[in-house]
Amino acid sequence: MNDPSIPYSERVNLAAQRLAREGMGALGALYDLTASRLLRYSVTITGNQHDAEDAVQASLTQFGLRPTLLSQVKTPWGYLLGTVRNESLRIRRTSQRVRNDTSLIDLRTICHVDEVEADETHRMVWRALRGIPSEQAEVIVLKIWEQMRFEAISELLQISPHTAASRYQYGLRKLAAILHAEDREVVP
Amino acid sequence: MRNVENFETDFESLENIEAMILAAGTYVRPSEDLRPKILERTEEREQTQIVIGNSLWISMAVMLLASWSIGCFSTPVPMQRIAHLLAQGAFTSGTELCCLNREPCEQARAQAVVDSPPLETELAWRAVHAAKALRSFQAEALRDGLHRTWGPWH
Repeated sequence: MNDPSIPYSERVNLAAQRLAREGMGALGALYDLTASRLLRYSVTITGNQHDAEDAVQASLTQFGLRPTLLSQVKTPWGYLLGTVRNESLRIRRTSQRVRNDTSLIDLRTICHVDEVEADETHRMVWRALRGIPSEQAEVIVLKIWEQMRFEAISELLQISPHTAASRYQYGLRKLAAILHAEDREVVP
Repeated sequence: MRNVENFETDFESLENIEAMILAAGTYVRPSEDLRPKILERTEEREQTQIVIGNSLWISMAVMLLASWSIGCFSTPVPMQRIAHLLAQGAFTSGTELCCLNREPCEQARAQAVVDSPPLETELAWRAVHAAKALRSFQAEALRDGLHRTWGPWH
């Protein structure tokens, strides 16, 4: 299931089937496989990690309680993303927490000692992602991080492929502008 | 309008941006306590669901048992005596059956009045009337029992 040569969506299918077979005992494996990805997607919608973790928790708990549900759908990975998206939007509507537009103080990050420069670049990217509308940020995240096609993104977000593509283009240009501006500030 | 050179530079820049974004994908990680929290919460909720499910079954079983026992034990029907009397052809009307229980039974009486003189060929009809009266009596007893236990029926 953790074999990197198998496409990611197929690995999620296998995890879903295992969950259906073994019940709650296999929820940990599904978590290990999907939590980081679900979390980073949710963070782009909620604007802070605490709410994103709540959304991931609510979604995975739901699948733990109904273990056969995920294995019955056509594309378990898409379904998981859709569930987390719905939870994230619900929490964003009701949460009292402040959406962080520029600060990254809420994020738990992985910082390698030998990658200080890369670390700064990652921080710039995450700050820039928070500087653009979340509708555009989530399309960018799905396209680049999840390697999804515009057709699949449009299905998930219930928009037309053309809208998904134009959100991606506009978002990417805004990101480029923000990153160039930040780069000029850092290196005059 | 952008010229071709600008467009290519722009395109290159966007490709770089895509590469930067891709590299930043693994930068954020979940909190250490998220995994145990999810597993614990799921287990707790599963236990709660099991308890609620069991309580529902138990309460349904108790309700059925209560209504059955009210029908059977609170107003016992002397079946053996009825069978004995039926065999002897003793019934002429539903009234007699109601009298066996020492309780008035207006509905049964109204339904089961037979005024014709007893004939041998009418023995079967007497049995039918007696059975009808018995059924009415049982229905009334059950209705009363349920009414006492659960209140007015909707």
